[in-house]
Amino acid sequence: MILVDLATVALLLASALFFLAGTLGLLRFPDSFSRLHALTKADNLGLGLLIAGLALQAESLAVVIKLVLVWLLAMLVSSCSAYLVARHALRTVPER
Amino acid sequence: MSGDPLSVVVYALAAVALTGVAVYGLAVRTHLLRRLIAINILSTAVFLLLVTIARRAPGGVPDPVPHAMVLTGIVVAISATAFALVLTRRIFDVTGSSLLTDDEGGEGSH
Amino acid sequence: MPLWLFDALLATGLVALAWQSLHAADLFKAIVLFIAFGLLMALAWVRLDATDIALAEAAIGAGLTGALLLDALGHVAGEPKKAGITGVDHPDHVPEERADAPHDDRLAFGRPERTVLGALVLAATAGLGVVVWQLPADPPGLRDVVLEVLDEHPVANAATAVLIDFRAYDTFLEMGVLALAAIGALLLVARRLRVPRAEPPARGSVILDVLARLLVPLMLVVAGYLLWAGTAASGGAFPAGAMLGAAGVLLYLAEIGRRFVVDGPPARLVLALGLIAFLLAGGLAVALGRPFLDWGEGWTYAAILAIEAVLTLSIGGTLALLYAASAKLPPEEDEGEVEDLEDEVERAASPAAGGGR
Repeated sequence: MILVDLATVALLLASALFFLAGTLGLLRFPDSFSRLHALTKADNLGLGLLIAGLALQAESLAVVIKLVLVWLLAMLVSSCSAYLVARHALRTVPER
Repeated sequence: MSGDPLSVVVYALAAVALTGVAVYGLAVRTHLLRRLIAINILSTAVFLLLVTIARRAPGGVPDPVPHAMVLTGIVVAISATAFALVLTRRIFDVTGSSLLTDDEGGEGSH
Repeated sequence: MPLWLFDALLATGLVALAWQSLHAADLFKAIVLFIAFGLLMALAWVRLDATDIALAEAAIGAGLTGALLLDALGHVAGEPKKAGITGVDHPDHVPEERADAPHDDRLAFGRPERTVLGALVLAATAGLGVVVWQLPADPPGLRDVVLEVLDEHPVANAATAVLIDFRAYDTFLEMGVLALAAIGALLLVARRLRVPRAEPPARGSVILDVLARLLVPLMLVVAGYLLWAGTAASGGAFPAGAMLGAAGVLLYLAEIGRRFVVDGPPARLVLALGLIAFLLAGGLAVALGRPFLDWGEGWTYAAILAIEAVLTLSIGGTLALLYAASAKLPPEEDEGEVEDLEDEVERAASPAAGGGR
């Protein structure tokens, strides 16, 4: 059991690191596209690690399936909204 | 969950701080949208205070009556905000400005 | 690691976000920060054991309010001259560019007044803090009364029982407030919607379309679940209604729902549904010899569930309607299609037209 807890802690820490990296990218990158790039990639991976860490602690298979569904939904929505933001930025930002 | 009285006090103080921030923002900013944001933050602060008081009921189970009031309050707040936003758009359409200043606005008043 | 440290961090984040959303230079950034504030508030609600409120805040407070604000920003951030093109003004009053009309987001007072004002607000806030600090640790509340009655109550979720049973009158009037706000909004924009809208230009994106088609059925299922689970666990009519409203807004944005006329009989029925439900149920209670809105024994669960279902539909529909009614029409649609009330009146009154439409 202790091994599972250690694995969860490790996964959660890794996920926190990825979220931190994504947020740093959001703050420091110069324009919309690179920010989107950093944000969606890092946050998706961070979320995946988070779900993995939580799934290890789940009491039943139903909870694991719910967590995986959350992950899939979050990925779907974040990728679509990243596309929409990029599309808008492409249209309104003058060509360089 | 958070039966820790210190946590509850933290949130109560946060509610007080939010009230101050919202009132100052409401008084000082002139853009209508920001004023609406300030009003929303003020409502949220009051709700937070209500719920922290509810949480303090001894025995660990929170008082459900303030919860119901806050739920009602959230819905009322968004109704008012939506209507206020429609008004803001009309003010903008008619007067061309979305600021609310103390200058004499004789042109825009009917 | 004591948990209150997390709470302290969360609280600090909340206050910082609130400050920034009021004083950030860019309005778009301010609204986005406000949405983030709403989401962090949802976390705070969870920490305070108010899960129903957390669900409602995340959907309504952060999501819908943020969407409404962003939409309004899109409208008012444009140049004032554009207001004349949409033809919604009084025909002989075109707002010319007022030289003194301030366009930038200013502060109301100069530096010295602001300092005094800040000091006053700070003092008042400190006073409020002292009062809050001295609040009794054992507040007299209705909790024990409610919990006592809740034992024999078929509904296990205390908040739902309080909302729909013990304080049903408040919820009844709240439906009235919601409907009033929507009616007010429709009154202000109805002129634009008199002409049935033509097929909108395909400015939407295929991705948004697909996303809406994928997500809306899921949202409907979740709303139904929240409604059903609300009697026993967290949920209830308000989070379910909020989810429905969000689904409606998504449909509207993806231009799947644009064909619905916003101000027609079905829309008005949706607005009135909540009030009608309460009136019917309460009237039924009176007809059976009980006080208004008093559900009888054996009827309570059925009455509560039925009312909650209708409330969900009404809340969801009204929220989606509020968004659609205040959303900005794309400029290409307006030119030549929208008629003013004044034009209609002139045409109707003009003898050459024969008085008919």
